[in-house]
Amino acid sequence: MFRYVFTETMKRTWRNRKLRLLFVLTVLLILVYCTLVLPRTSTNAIFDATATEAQVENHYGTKENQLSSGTVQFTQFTSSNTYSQAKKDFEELSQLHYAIQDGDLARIMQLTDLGIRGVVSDEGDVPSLFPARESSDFALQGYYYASSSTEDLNTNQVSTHMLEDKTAIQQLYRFVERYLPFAFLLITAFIASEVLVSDRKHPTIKAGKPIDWRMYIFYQSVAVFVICGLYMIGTMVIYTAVNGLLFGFGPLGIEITSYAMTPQENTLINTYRGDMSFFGYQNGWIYVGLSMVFILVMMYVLIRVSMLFSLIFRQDMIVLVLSILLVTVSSIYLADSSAGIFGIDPWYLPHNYIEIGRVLMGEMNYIAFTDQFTFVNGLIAMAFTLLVVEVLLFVTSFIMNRQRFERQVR
Amino acid sequence: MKLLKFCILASAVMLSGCAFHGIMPTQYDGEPLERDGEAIEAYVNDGQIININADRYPFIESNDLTGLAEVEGSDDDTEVIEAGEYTVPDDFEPGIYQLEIGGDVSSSAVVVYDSDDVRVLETSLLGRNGTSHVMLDDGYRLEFKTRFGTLNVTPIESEMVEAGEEGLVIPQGIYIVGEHIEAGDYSLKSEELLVMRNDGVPEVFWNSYGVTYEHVMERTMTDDYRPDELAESDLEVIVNLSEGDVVIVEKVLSILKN
Repeated sequence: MFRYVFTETMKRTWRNRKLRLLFVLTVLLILVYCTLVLPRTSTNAIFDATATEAQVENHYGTKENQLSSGTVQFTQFTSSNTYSQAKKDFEELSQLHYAIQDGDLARIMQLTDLGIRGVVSDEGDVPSLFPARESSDFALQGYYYASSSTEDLNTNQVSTHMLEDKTAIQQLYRFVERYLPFAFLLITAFIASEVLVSDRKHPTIKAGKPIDWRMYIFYQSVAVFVICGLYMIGTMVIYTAVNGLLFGFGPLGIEITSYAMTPQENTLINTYRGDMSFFGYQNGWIYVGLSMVFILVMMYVLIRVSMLFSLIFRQDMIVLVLSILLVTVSSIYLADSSAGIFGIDPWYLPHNYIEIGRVLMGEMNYIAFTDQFTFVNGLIAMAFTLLVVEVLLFVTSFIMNRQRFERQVR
Repeated sequence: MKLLKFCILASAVMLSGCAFHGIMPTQYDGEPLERDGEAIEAYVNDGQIININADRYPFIESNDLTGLAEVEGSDDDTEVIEAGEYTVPDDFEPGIYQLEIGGDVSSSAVVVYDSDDVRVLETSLLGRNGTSHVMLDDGYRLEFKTRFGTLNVTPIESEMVEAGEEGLVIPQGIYIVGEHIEAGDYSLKSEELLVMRNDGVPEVFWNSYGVTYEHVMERTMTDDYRPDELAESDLEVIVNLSEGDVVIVEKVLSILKN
């Protein structure tokens, strides 16, 4: 019976023109972004060659000017020494300039690691759904760690694509960090909102199915989950493959930021949360994998919630709007994720995990002065949520039984 | 079957790796990044920077630096000079001099030009980093630049720089290998080593993981200088110094004999 429900749901989803259009548009969007937008995106995040060369000349001019005028001294008011500073800057930046001239990216990375940054024009200027958050020093620290993976430096296997975060793995984790949870949860809400409700258009066929009502809803949920999961995995595979072929797949051992403020030092008053000791590394591929597993869990929870809404409201648009509100509520209303509700710690509240990429990277820990926003705590939060939803669904399915559900609303 | 073949191909590309940089050309500022294989190899293998210019390293244009090997020390008296230009032999005899800033100098620059007016040394003398070892030959010119203060110029005899446990910590100046520094293979612990070979070929070595001269000074001052901490990188830069090579030290140099 499961196979029957599953096949039917799959067929109906595939025959749905809106959903077909969505799949096609997704693939098109990926192709356009990867082949047309990304190659023209230059972050200049590590170096701006032209500006660096101009800066080298500036420092040289300042140094020579000080020498020829004989005004080598500490400035009384600023306690700075223009000549020595200009000389030092000129010498350091010259090394970066030589490395750029040689096209030696490994050396550029080494110098950048040392703090010889050259002219960095757009360090924090990355597209974001939440621009205000990017101004925090978390973004800068995160950027620093993401870019300073030194594993491949000595083997000289760095490319500018890597420096500009364009390789497949880097694009994946950037996407996971920013858009992926929202994108897939919204699409899940879109697909799930009309699956159960559309049964009401065929009351004579649906009302007589020889299967328990709750099992029927469960089978449909699983079918939608499989469809959404396949859609997500398929999209990610296409995205990875296209980016990989265009820009390389990126280093397997790439490390990205991991942040946790350790509790014993969590005095909330005296500790600076941007302290470097709280920042660590984690493998980029594992980060992406864990995020995708968590998104799958959230997708299932959302599908069950959507079924609950379908039972209660029996109107797909209302279900869709409510589901979208659920997904976006944390970013619209509850910006302060450090606050608990009804005495429950914030790290056990499911809405704080919707942006799972930021959670796993440690940004929620950063915002909330804690180390409790973890993958495991997220799973616990989701398990409790699912439990509550299942109980509600169970109760609601008794009240809104199949016959009542199929009946026309008058 | 075709899909399977494609998957195998894609997997192979992926597993082979990380060396695959994609079919898009690597770029910066929208321009293709051109790799100079020879320069990169010289840096990776020897720590040598070969594409250098005279703005940053003016000594590379000098033709008579190697002649300094003939200069001998003298035992004249110390002279105290003010900011200005001094020539050899009008103001000083050819020889080896120790320069030391007067106590009232907060910041200064010492620049040495060779007989062709090529700048062979430019160094900043200030505070605890206030001594230098220069060699002046006929036709050479010494510039002392500061707003306030004096410079003590003391003629000295030629002698070897003493090596400590940490290796050689060499103040800024001009040195001859064989007379001031023992010939041999050295590991570069600070960032930069400039050398004019005895056959007149200039070479510049760079160690990205070398300590800065401020760090060298700090470690030396606190007697907490441990060379094993300094070379944590695999990119150790080994430089061979031969008899007659001229070493230019713009910032304090730290090297350890192998």
